[in-house]
Amino acid sequence: MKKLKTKFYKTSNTFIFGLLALLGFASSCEKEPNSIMVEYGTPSAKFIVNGKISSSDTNTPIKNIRVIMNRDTSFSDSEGHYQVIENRGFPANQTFQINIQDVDSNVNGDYKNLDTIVKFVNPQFINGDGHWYEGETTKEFNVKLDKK
Amino acid sequence: MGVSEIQFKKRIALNLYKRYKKNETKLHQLNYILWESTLRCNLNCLHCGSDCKKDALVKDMPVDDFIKAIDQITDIVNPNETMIVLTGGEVLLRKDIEKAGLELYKRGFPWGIVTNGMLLSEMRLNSLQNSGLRAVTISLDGLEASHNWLRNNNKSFNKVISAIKLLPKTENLKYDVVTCVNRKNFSELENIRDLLIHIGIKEWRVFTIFPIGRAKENDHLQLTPIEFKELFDFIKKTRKENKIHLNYGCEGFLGNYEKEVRDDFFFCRAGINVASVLADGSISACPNLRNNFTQGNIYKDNFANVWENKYEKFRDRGWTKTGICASCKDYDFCEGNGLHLRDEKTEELLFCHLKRIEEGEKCQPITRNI
Repeated sequence: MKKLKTKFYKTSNTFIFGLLALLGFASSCEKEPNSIMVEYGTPSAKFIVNGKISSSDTNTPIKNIRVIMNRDTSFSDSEGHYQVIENRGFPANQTFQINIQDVDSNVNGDYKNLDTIVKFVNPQFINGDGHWYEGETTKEFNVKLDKK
Repeated sequence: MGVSEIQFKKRIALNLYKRYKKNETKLHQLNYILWESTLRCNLNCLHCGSDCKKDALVKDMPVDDFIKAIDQITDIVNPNETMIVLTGGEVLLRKDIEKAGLELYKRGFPWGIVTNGMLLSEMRLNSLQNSGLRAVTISLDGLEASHNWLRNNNKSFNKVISAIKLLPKTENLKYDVVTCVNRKNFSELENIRDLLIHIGIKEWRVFTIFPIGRAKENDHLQLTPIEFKELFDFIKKTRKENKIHLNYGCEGFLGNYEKEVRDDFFFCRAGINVASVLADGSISACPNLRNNFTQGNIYKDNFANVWENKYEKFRDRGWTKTGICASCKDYDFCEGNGLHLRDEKTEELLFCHLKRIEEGEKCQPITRNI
Protein backbone atom coordinates (compact mmCIF):
# COMPACT_ATOMS: atom_id res chain seq x y z
CA MET A 1 0.00 0.00 0.00
CA LYS A 2 2.83 2.37 0.91
CA LYS A 3 4.56 1.58 -2.39
CA LEU A 4 1.37 2.32 -4.28
CA LYS A 5 0.96 5.66 -2.53
CA THR A 6 4.60 6.54 -3.20
CA LYS A 7 4.12 5.76 -6.88
CA PHE A 8 0.96 7.87 -6.98
CA TYR A 9 2.65 10.93 -5.43
CA LYS A 10 5.68 10.60 -7.71
CA THR A 11 3.56 10.22 -10.82
CA SER A 12 1.45 13.14 -9.73
CA ASN A 13 4.61 15.25 -9.31
CA THR A 14 5.81 14.33 -12.79
CA PHE A 15 2.42 15.44 -14.15
CA ILE A 16 2.61 18.71 -12.21
CA PHE A 17 6.06 19.49 -13.61
CA GLY A 18 4.76 18.85 -17.10
CA LEU A 19 1.99 21.39 -16.54
CA LEU A 20 4.41 23.87 -14.99
CA ALA A 21 6.68 23.55 -18.03
CA LEU A 22 3.69 24.19 -20.30
CA LEU A 23 2.98 27.35 -18.34
CA GLY A 24 6.58 28.47 -18.82
CA PHE A 25 7.66 27.74 -15.24
CA ALA A 26 9.95 24.76 -15.77
CA SER A 27 11.51 23.86 -12.47
CA SER A 28 15.04 22.70 -11.74
CA CYS A 29 13.32 19.80 -9.97
CA GLU A 30 11.86 18.83 -13.32
CA LYS A 31 15.21 18.84 -15.09
CA GLU A 32 16.86 16.95 -12.30
CA PRO A 33 14.06 15.30 -10.37
CA ASN A 34 16.12 14.40 -7.36
CA SER A 35 18.43 17.34 -7.37
CA ILE A 36 16.76 19.18 -4.57
CA MET A 37 18.35 22.59 -4.38
CA VAL A 38 18.37 23.33 -0.74
CA GLU A 39 20.74 25.92 0.64
CA TYR A 40 23.89 24.43 -0.82
CA GLY A 41 22.93 22.61 -4.02
CA THR A 42 23.46 19.02 -5.08
CA PRO A 43 25.50 17.73 -8.02
CA SER A 44 23.59 15.29 -10.19
CA ALA A 45 23.84 13.43 -13.49
CA LYS A 46 21.86 11.24 -15.86
CA PHE A 47 23.00 7.63 -16.35
CA ILE A 48 21.75 5.94 -19.53
CA VAL A 49 22.03 2.22 -20.20
CA ASN A 50 21.47 0.98 -23.79
CA GLY A 51 21.73 -2.55 -24.98
CA LYS A 52 20.43 -5.54 -26.83
CA ILE A 53 18.82 -8.64 -25.42
CA SER A 54 19.32 -11.86 -27.31
CA SER A 55 19.05 -15.58 -26.87
CA SER A 56 22.19 -17.32 -25.60
CA ASP A 57 21.33 -20.31 -27.78
CA THR A 58 20.55 -18.78 -31.13
CA ASN A 59 21.89 -15.23 -30.73
CA THR A 60 18.56 -13.93 -32.08
CA PRO A 61 17.10 -10.78 -30.53
CA ILE A 62 14.27 -11.20 -28.02
CA LYS A 63 11.30 -8.86 -28.11
CA ASN A 64 9.21 -7.60 -25.16
CA ILE A 65 11.66 -8.38 -22.36
CA ARG A 66 11.08 -6.10 -19.36
CA VAL A 67 14.17 -4.23 -18.10
CA ILE A 68 14.05 -2.43 -14.76
CA MET A 69 16.73 -0.11 -13.39
CA ASN A 70 15.84 1.83 -10.26
CA ARG A 71 12.67 3.74 -11.13
CA ASP A 72 12.80 3.22 -14.88
CA THR A 73 11.24 0.35 -16.81
CA SER A 74 11.38 -0.38 -20.52
CA PHE A 75 10.65 -3.29 -22.90
CA SER A 76 12.95 -4.54 -25.64
CA ASP A 77 11.81 -3.87 -29.21
CA SER A 78 11.67 -6.34 -32.11
CA GLU A 79 15.46 -6.05 -32.50
CA GLY A 80 16.04 -6.66 -28.81
CA HIS A 81 17.06 -3.07 -28.10
CA TYR A 82 16.22 -1.44 -24.78
CA GLN A 83 17.11 1.72 -22.89
CA VAL A 84 16.77 2.52 -19.19
CA ILE A 85 17.70 5.80 -17.56
CA GLU A 86 18.58 6.93 -14.07
CA ASN A 87 17.93 10.67 -14.06
CA ARG A 88 18.91 11.25 -10.50
CA GLY A 89 22.33 9.75 -10.04
CA PHE A 90 25.24 11.24 -8.24
CA PRO A 91 28.04 12.05 -10.73
CA ALA A 92 30.64 9.47 -9.72
CA ASN A 93 31.35 5.77 -10.16
CA GLN A 94 28.01 4.00 -9.93
CA THR A 95 26.68 0.48 -9.78
CA PHE A 96 23.03 -0.07 -10.71
CA GLN A 97 21.03 -3.23 -10.29
CA ILE A 98 19.19 -4.33 -13.43
CA ASN A 99 16.31 -6.80 -13.43
CA ILE A 100 15.59 -8.48 -16.76
CA GLN A 101 12.30 -10.35 -16.92
CA ASP A 102 10.43 -12.39 -19.49
CA VAL A 103 6.86 -11.34 -18.77
CA ASP A 104 5.00 -12.62 -21.84
CA SER A 105 5.42 -16.29 -21.06
CA ASN A 106 6.32 -18.16 -24.26
CA VAL A 107 4.98 -15.58 -26.76
CA ASN A 108 8.52 -14.58 -27.78
CA GLY A 109 10.18 -17.66 -26.38
CA ASP A 110 10.36 -18.68 -22.73
CA TYR A 111 13.49 -17.29 -21.06
CA LYS A 112 14.91 -17.25 -17.53
CA ASN A 113 14.88 -13.95 -15.66
CA LEU A 114 18.21 -12.35 -14.88
CA ASP A 115 19.19 -10.04 -12.02
CA THR A 116 22.50 -8.40 -12.70
CA ILE A 117 24.45 -5.17 -12.26
CA VAL A 118 25.84 -2.55 -14.56
CA LYS A 119 28.86 -0.53 -13.49
CA PHE A 120 29.86 2.97 -14.57
CA VAL A 121 33.58 3.38 -13.90
CA ASN A 122 35.10 6.86 -14.34
CA PRO A 123 32.06 8.01 -16.31
CA GLN A 124 32.44 10.99 -18.65
CA PHE A 125 29.51 13.39 -18.60
CA ILE A 126 28.34 15.56 -21.49
CA ASN A 127 25.82 18.37 -21.89
CA GLY A 128 25.88 19.58 -18.30
CA ASP A 129 24.30 22.94 -17.58
CA GLY A 130 27.46 24.45 -16.11
CA HIS A 131 25.78 24.50 -12.70
CA TRP A 132 24.90 21.55 -10.49
CA TYR A 133 23.75 19.24 -13.27
CA GLU A 134 26.88 17.60 -14.72
CA GLY A 135 25.18 16.06 -17.75
CA GLU A 136 24.66 12.53 -19.01
CA THR A 137 26.72 9.43 -19.54
CA THR A 138 25.88 6.33 -21.57
CA LYS A 139 26.90 2.69 -21.31
CA GLU A 140 26.16 -0.19 -23.62
CA PHE A 141 25.10 -3.33 -21.82
CA ASN A 142 24.16 -6.36 -23.93
CA VAL A 143 22.49 -9.33 -22.33
CA LYS A 144 22.07 -12.96 -23.33
CA LEU A 145 19.20 -14.89 -21.78
CA ASP A 146 19.05 -18.63 -21.31
CA LYS A 147 15.96 -20.57 -22.28
CA LYS A 148 13.95 -22.10 -19.46
CA MET B 1 2.46 45.59 -10.70
CA GLY B 2 3.03 45.20 -6.93
CA VAL B 3 4.68 42.23 -5.29
CA SER B 4 1.33 40.98 -3.96
CA GLU B 5 -0.50 41.28 -7.26
CA ILE B 6 0.63 37.93 -8.58
CA GLN B 7 0.12 37.50 -12.31
CA PHE B 8 -2.67 35.13 -13.33
CA LYS B 9 -0.39 32.57 -14.98
CA LYS B 10 2.00 32.57 -12.07
CA ARG B 11 -0.90 32.11 -9.65
CA ILE B 12 -1.95 28.98 -11.55
CA ALA B 13 1.65 27.73 -11.40
CA LEU B 14 1.83 28.46 -7.67
CA ASN B 15 -1.36 26.46 -7.15
CA LEU B 16 0.16 23.53 -9.03
CA TYR B 17 3.36 23.86 -7.02
CA LYS B 18 1.28 23.83 -3.83
CA ARG B 19 0.04 20.37 -4.88
CA TYR B 20 3.64 19.30 -5.51
CA LYS B 21 4.63 20.47 -2.03
CA LYS B 22 1.80 18.45 -0.52
CA ASN B 23 2.97 15.36 -2.41
CA GLU B 24 6.54 15.90 -1.27
CA THR B 25 5.33 16.29 2.29
CA LYS B 26 3.47 12.97 2.06
CA LEU B 27 6.51 11.28 0.51
CA HIS B 28 8.72 12.71 3.29
CA GLN B 29 11.87 11.42 1.61
CA LEU B 30 15.03 12.33 3.46
CA ASN B 31 17.64 13.45 0.93
CA TYR B 32 19.60 16.25 2.57
CA ILE B 33 21.40 16.09 5.89
CA LEU B 34 23.36 18.88 7.53
CA TRP B 35 25.89 18.04 10.19
CA GLU B 36 26.89 20.82 12.54
CA SER B 37 30.29 19.25 12.96
CA THR B 38 31.69 21.85 15.36
CA LEU B 39 30.70 25.01 17.17
CA ARG B 40 34.29 26.22 17.21
CA CYS B 41 35.06 29.08 14.87
CA ASN B 42 38.12 31.10 13.86
CA LEU B 43 35.99 34.18 13.25
CA ASN B 44 33.56 36.14 15.35
CA CYS B 45 31.04 37.35 12.78
CA LEU B 46 28.56 40.04 13.67
CA HIS B 47 25.67 38.19 12.04
CA CYS B 48 26.40 34.61 13.07
CA GLY B 49 23.27 32.46 13.29
CA SER B 50 25.03 29.70 15.20
CA ASP B 51 26.17 31.92 18.05
CA CYS B 52 29.41 29.96 18.02
CA LYS B 53 32.62 30.87 19.79
CA LYS B 54 36.35 30.38 19.37
CA ASP B 55 36.39 27.83 22.18
CA ALA B 56 32.98 26.29 22.16
CA LEU B 57 31.69 24.69 25.33
CA VAL B 58 30.19 21.85 23.34
CA LYS B 59 32.97 19.50 22.29
CA ASP B 60 33.15 18.34 18.68
CA MET B 61 31.12 15.24 18.05
CA PRO B 62 33.39 12.26 17.35
CA VAL B 63 33.24 11.20 13.70
CA ASP B 64 32.29 7.66 14.69
CA ASP B 65 29.19 8.89 16.51
CA PHE B 66 27.95 10.75 13.44
CA ILE B 67 28.70 7.83 11.12
CA LYS B 68 26.85 5.50 13.49
CA ALA B 69 23.78 7.74 13.12
CA ILE B 70 24.19 7.76 9.34
CA ASP B 71 24.36 3.96 9.31
CA GLN B 72 20.94 3.92 10.95
CA ILE B 73 19.29 5.60 7.97
CA THR B 74 20.69 3.47 5.17
CA ASP B 75 17.41 1.51 4.94
CA ILE B 76 15.31 4.63 4.38
CA VAL B 77 17.49 6.57 1.93
CA ASN B 78 19.40 5.96 -1.26
CA PRO B 79 22.90 7.15 -0.26
CA ASN B 80 23.69 8.29 -3.82
CA GLU B 81 20.71 10.61 -3.69
CA THR B 82 21.31 11.95 -0.22
CA MET B 83 23.58 14.95 0.15
CA ILE B 84 25.42 15.45 3.42
CA VAL B 85 26.66 18.94 4.15
CA LEU B 86 29.15 19.60 6.92
CA THR B 87 28.71 22.97 8.59
CA GLY B 88 29.88 24.66 11.77
CA GLY B 89 31.16 26.80 13.36
CA GLU B 90 34.04 26.56 10.95
CA VAL B 91 34.19 23.04 9.64
CA LEU B 92 37.85 23.19 8.57
CA LEU B 93 38.99 23.68 12.16
CA ARG B 94 38.38 19.98 12.50
CA LYS B 95 41.37 17.97 11.38
CA ASP B 96 39.33 14.80 10.94
CA ILE B 97 36.89 16.08 8.31
CA GLU B 98 38.68 13.91 5.77
CA LYS B 99 38.08 10.86 7.95
CA ALA B 100 34.34 11.65 8.14
CA GLY B 101 34.24 12.36 4.42
CA LEU B 102 35.92 9.11 3.51
CA GLU B 103 33.45 7.13 5.61
CA LEU B 104 30.57 8.91 3.87
CA TYR B 105 32.17 8.35 0.47
CA LYS B 106 32.58 4.62 1.17
CA ARG B 107 28.88 4.44 1.93
CA GLY B 108 28.01 6.23 -1.32
CA PHE B 109 26.94 9.60 0.11
CA PRO B 110 27.92 12.75 -1.76
CA TRP B 111 29.15 15.32 0.73
CA GLY B 112 30.08 18.97 0.85
CA ILE B 113 31.22 21.71 3.21
CA VAL B 114 30.25 25.25 4.06
CA THR B 115 33.28 27.27 5.02
CA ASN B 116 34.44 30.83 5.64
CA GLY B 117 37.50 30.02 3.51
CA MET B 118 40.09 31.06 6.12
CA LEU B 119 41.70 27.61 6.13
CA LEU B 120 40.97 26.47 2.61
CA SER B 121 44.34 26.09 0.93
CA GLU B 122 45.06 24.17 -2.26
CA MET B 123 46.61 21.40 -0.21
CA ARG B 124 43.60 21.10 2.09
CA LEU B 125 41.22 21.14 -0.87
CA ASN B 126 43.18 18.29 -2.48
CA SER B 127 43.09 16.34 0.72
CA LEU B 128 39.31 16.87 1.01
CA GLN B 129 38.75 15.86 -2.60
CA ASN B 130 40.77 12.71 -2.01
CA SER B 131 38.20 11.91 0.65
CA GLY B 132 35.31 12.33 -1.78
CA LEU B 133 34.41 16.00 -1.32
CA ARG B 134 32.01 17.09 -4.06
CA ALA B 135 30.67 20.51 -3.13
CA VAL B 136 31.92 23.65 -1.42
CA THR B 137 30.08 26.77 -0.35
CA ILE B 138 32.21 29.78 0.61
CA SER B 139 30.99 33.01 2.17
CA LEU B 140 31.99 36.37 0.76
CA ASP B 141 30.23 39.23 2.46
CA GLY B 142 31.42 42.30 0.59
CA LEU B 143 34.46 44.09 -0.68
CA GLU B 144 37.46 44.26 1.63
CA ALA B 145 36.27 46.75 4.24
CA SER B 146 32.72 45.50 4.56
CA HIS B 147 33.67 41.81 4.49
CA ASN B 148 36.30 42.32 7.18
CA TRP B 149 33.84 44.40 9.21
CA LEU B 150 31.14 41.72 9.17
CA ARG B 151 33.65 38.95 9.71
CA ASN B 152 35.38 40.94 12.44
CA ASN B 153 38.82 40.11 11.07
CA ASN B 154 41.22 42.25 9.01
CA LYS B 155 42.71 39.33 7.11
CA SER B 156 39.52 37.50 6.26
CA PHE B 157 38.87 39.16 2.87
CA ASN B 158 42.29 38.32 1.44
CA LYS B 159 42.03 34.77 2.71
CA VAL B 160 38.55 34.17 1.37
CA ILE B 161 39.47 35.58 -2.06
CA SER B 162 42.45 33.20 -2.21
CA ALA B 163 40.11 30.34 -1.36
CA ILE B 164 37.47 31.43 -3.90
CA LYS B 165 40.13 31.57 -6.62
CA LEU B 166 40.76 27.86 -6.09
CA LEU B 167 37.19 26.93 -6.98
CA PRO B 168 36.92 27.53 -10.75
CA LYS B 169 40.20 25.77 -11.46
CA THR B 170 39.37 22.66 -9.44
CA GLU B 171 37.98 19.76 -11.43
CA ASN B 172 35.05 17.65 -10.26
CA LEU B 173 34.00 20.19 -7.68
CA LYS B 174 30.67 21.96 -7.45
CA TYR B 175 30.70 25.23 -5.62
CA ASP B 176 28.93 28.45 -4.95
CA VAL B 177 29.76 31.69 -3.23
CA VAL B 178 27.21 33.06 -0.79
CA THR B 179 26.84 36.65 0.24
CA CYS B 180 24.95 37.85 3.23
CA VAL B 181 23.52 41.18 2.08
CA ASN B 182 23.40 43.91 4.72
CA ARG B 183 23.34 47.71 4.90
CA LYS B 184 27.13 47.94 4.68
CA ASN B 185 27.61 45.90 1.50
CA PHE B 186 24.32 46.73 -0.22
CA SER B 187 25.86 49.49 -2.35
CA GLU B 188 28.70 47.13 -3.36
CA LEU B 189 26.58 44.40 -4.93
CA GLU B 190 27.48 45.31 -8.50
CA ASN B 191 31.18 45.40 -7.60
CA ILE B 192 30.98 42.05 -5.82
CA ARG B 193 29.24 40.58 -8.86
CA ASP B 194 31.95 41.93 -11.18
CA LEU B 195 34.68 40.62 -8.89
CA LEU B 196 33.18 37.12 -8.88
CA ILE B 197 32.74 37.12 -12.66
CA HIS B 198 36.36 38.27 -13.01
CA ILE B 199 37.53 35.36 -10.83
CA GLY B 200 35.52 32.95 -12.96
CA ILE B 201 32.80 32.07 -10.47
CA LYS B 202 29.63 30.72 -12.05
CA GLU B 203 27.33 30.29 -9.04
CA TRP B 204 26.44 33.06 -6.61
CA ARG B 205 23.78 33.07 -3.97
CA VAL B 206 22.68 35.90 -1.76
CA PHE B 207 20.59 35.94 1.35
CA THR B 208 19.58 38.59 3.80
CA ILE B 209 20.22 38.76 7.49
CA PHE B 210 17.39 37.56 9.62
CA PRO B 211 16.96 38.27 13.30
CA ILE B 212 18.47 35.16 14.88
CA GLY B 213 21.77 34.44 16.65
CA ARG B 214 24.00 37.49 17.01
CA ALA B 215 22.11 39.31 14.27
CA LYS B 216 19.27 39.72 16.76
CA GLU B 217 21.43 42.22 18.63
CA ASN B 218 22.47 44.03 15.41
CA ASP B 219 19.29 45.47 13.92
CA HIS B 220 21.32 47.84 11.73
CA LEU B 221 22.51 44.84 9.75
CA GLN B 222 19.07 44.50 8.21
CA LEU B 223 18.29 46.25 4.94
CA THR B 224 15.72 49.04 4.94
CA PRO B 225 12.46 48.16 3.17
CA ILE B 226 13.51 50.15 0.06
CA GLU B 227 16.90 48.41 -0.09
CA PHE B 228 15.21 45.07 0.48
CA LYS B 229 12.96 45.59 -2.53
CA GLU B 230 15.85 46.91 -4.62
CA LEU B 231 17.83 43.76 -3.83
CA PHE B 232 15.28 41.67 -5.71
CA ASP B 233 15.39 44.05 -8.66
CA PHE B 234 19.16 43.65 -8.69
CA ILE B 235 18.90 39.84 -8.66
CA LYS B 236 16.33 39.93 -11.47
CA LYS B 237 18.56 42.16 -13.58
CA THR B 238 21.67 40.05 -12.94
CA ARG B 239 19.85 36.85 -13.87
CA LYS B 240 18.73 38.44 -17.14
CA GLU B 241 22.31 39.48 -17.94
CA ASN B 242 23.28 35.82 -17.48
CA LYS B 243 26.97 36.41 -16.77
CA ILE B 244 26.72 34.67 -13.41
CA HIS B 245 24.01 32.37 -12.10
CA LEU B 246 22.56 34.29 -9.17
CA ASN B 247 19.90 32.95 -6.81
CA TYR B 248 18.25 34.31 -3.72
CA GLY B 249 18.60 31.83 -0.82
CA CYS B 250 15.87 29.31 -0.06
CA GLU B 251 14.13 31.48 2.53
CA GLY B 252 10.90 33.44 2.18
CA PHE B 253 7.92 33.62 -0.11
CA LEU B 254 8.43 36.54 -2.50
CA GLY B 255 5.06 37.10 -4.22
CA ASN B 256 5.49 38.28 -7.77
CA TYR B 257 9.27 37.89 -7.54
CA GLU B 258 8.80 34.11 -7.26
CA LYS B 259 10.70 32.27 -10.03
CA GLU B 260 12.34 35.53 -11.09
CA VAL B 261 15.02 35.70 -8.42
CA ARG B 262 15.66 32.00 -7.88
CA ASP B 263 15.33 28.82 -9.88
CA ASP B 264 12.37 27.37 -8.02
CA PHE B 265 9.28 28.52 -6.23
CA PHE B 266 9.59 28.94 -2.48
CA PHE B 267 9.51 25.69 -0.56
CA CYS B 268 10.83 25.37 2.99
CA ARG B 269 11.95 21.74 2.90
CA ALA B 270 12.94 21.62 6.57
CA GLY B 271 11.68 18.32 7.95
CA ILE B 272 10.17 17.42 4.56
CA ASN B 273 13.45 16.39 2.88
CA VAL B 274 16.02 18.01 5.16
CA ALA B 275 17.34 16.90 8.53
CA SER B 276 20.26 18.03 10.60
CA VAL B 277 22.43 16.64 13.33
CA LEU B 278 23.55 19.41 15.65
CA ALA B 279 26.81 19.59 17.60
CA ASP B 280 25.26 18.12 20.76
CA GLY B 281 23.62 15.27 18.86
CA SER B 282 20.20 16.91 18.57
CA ILE B 283 18.25 15.88 15.49
CA SER B 284 16.48 18.77 13.83
CA ALA B 285 15.73 20.06 10.34
CA CYS B 286 18.03 22.98 9.48
CA PRO B 287 20.85 23.89 11.89
CA ASN B 288 19.04 27.19 12.45
CA LEU B 289 16.14 25.30 13.98
CA ARG B 290 16.87 24.43 17.58
CA ASN B 291 15.03 24.29 20.94
CA ASN B 292 11.36 23.58 20.23
CA PHE B 293 12.17 22.25 16.79
CA THR B 294 14.45 19.46 18.01
CA GLN B 295 12.99 16.03 17.25
CA GLY B 296 15.40 13.72 19.03
CA ASN B 297 19.06 13.08 19.76
CA ILE B 298 21.40 10.61 18.12
CA TYR B 299 22.73 9.62 21.56
CA LYS B 300 19.28 8.51 22.68
CA ASP B 301 17.22 7.83 19.57
CA ASN B 302 17.48 5.93 16.34
CA PHE B 303 17.88 8.49 13.54
CA ALA B 304 15.69 6.54 11.11
CA ASN B 305 12.89 6.15 13.67
CA VAL B 306 12.97 9.85 14.40
CA TRP B 307 12.75 10.72 10.70
CA GLU B 308 9.96 8.23 10.02
CA ASN B 309 7.84 8.89 13.08
CA LYS B 310 8.42 12.47 14.15
CA TYR B 311 8.68 15.85 12.39
CA GLU B 312 4.89 16.36 12.67
CA LYS B 313 5.20 20.11 13.06
CA PHE B 314 7.28 20.28 9.89
CA ARG B 315 4.88 18.20 7.86
CA ASP B 316 1.70 19.86 9.10
CA ARG B 317 2.31 23.58 9.24
CA GLY B 318 -1.24 24.59 10.13
CA TRP B 319 0.11 25.90 13.46
CA THR B 320 1.95 28.68 11.63
CA LYS B 321 -1.31 30.34 10.57
CA THR B 322 -1.26 32.80 13.44
CA GLY B 323 -0.34 36.46 13.82
CA ILE B 324 0.16 38.20 10.48
CA CYS B 325 -0.03 34.85 8.67
CA ALA B 326 -3.64 34.29 9.82
CA SER B 327 -5.09 36.86 7.44
CA CYS B 328 -2.54 36.61 4.62
CA LYS B 329 -4.14 35.83 1.27
CA ASP B 330 -0.98 34.11 0.08
CA TYR B 331 -0.63 31.82 3.10
CA ASP B 332 -1.29 28.69 1.02
CA PHE B 333 1.74 29.43 -1.16
CA CYS B 334 3.98 30.38 1.74
CA GLU B 335 2.78 28.26 4.70
CA GLY B 336 4.27 30.50 7.33
CA ASN B 337 7.57 31.38 5.63
CA GLY B 338 10.86 29.56 6.36
CA LEU B 339 10.63 27.87 9.74
CA HIS B 340 14.00 29.31 10.75
CA LEU B 341 12.28 32.70 10.70
CA ARG B 342 10.06 31.69 13.61
CA ASP B 343 11.00 32.34 17.19
CA GLU B 344 12.42 29.14 18.66
CA LYS B 345 10.37 29.45 21.83
CA THR B 346 7.20 31.38 20.99
CA GLU B 347 7.11 30.18 17.36
CA GLU B 348 5.92 33.63 16.25
CA LEU B 349 7.02 34.80 12.79
CA LEU B 350 10.00 37.15 13.10
CA PHE B 351 10.25 38.28 9.50
CA CYS B 352 7.87 38.31 6.52
CA HIS B 353 9.60 38.85 3.18
CA LEU B 354 6.40 39.79 1.41
CA LYS B 355 5.47 42.46 3.94
CA ARG B 356 8.98 43.87 3.85
CA ILE B 357 8.91 44.20 0.05
CA GLU B 358 5.45 45.78 0.25
CA GLU B 359 6.83 48.32 2.70
CA GLY B 360 9.64 49.01 0.24
CA GLU B 361 7.12 49.56 -2.56
CA LYS B 362 5.18 52.04 -0.45
CA CYS B 363 8.36 53.99 0.25
CA GLN B 364 9.33 54.15 -3.44
CA PRO B 365 9.06 57.60 -5.02
CA ILE B 366 6.17 57.57 -7.51
CA THR B 367 7.21 58.48 -11.03
CA ARG B 368 4.59 59.39 -13.60
CA ASN B 369 4.79 60.19 -17.28
CA ILE B 370 3.36 63.65 -17.83
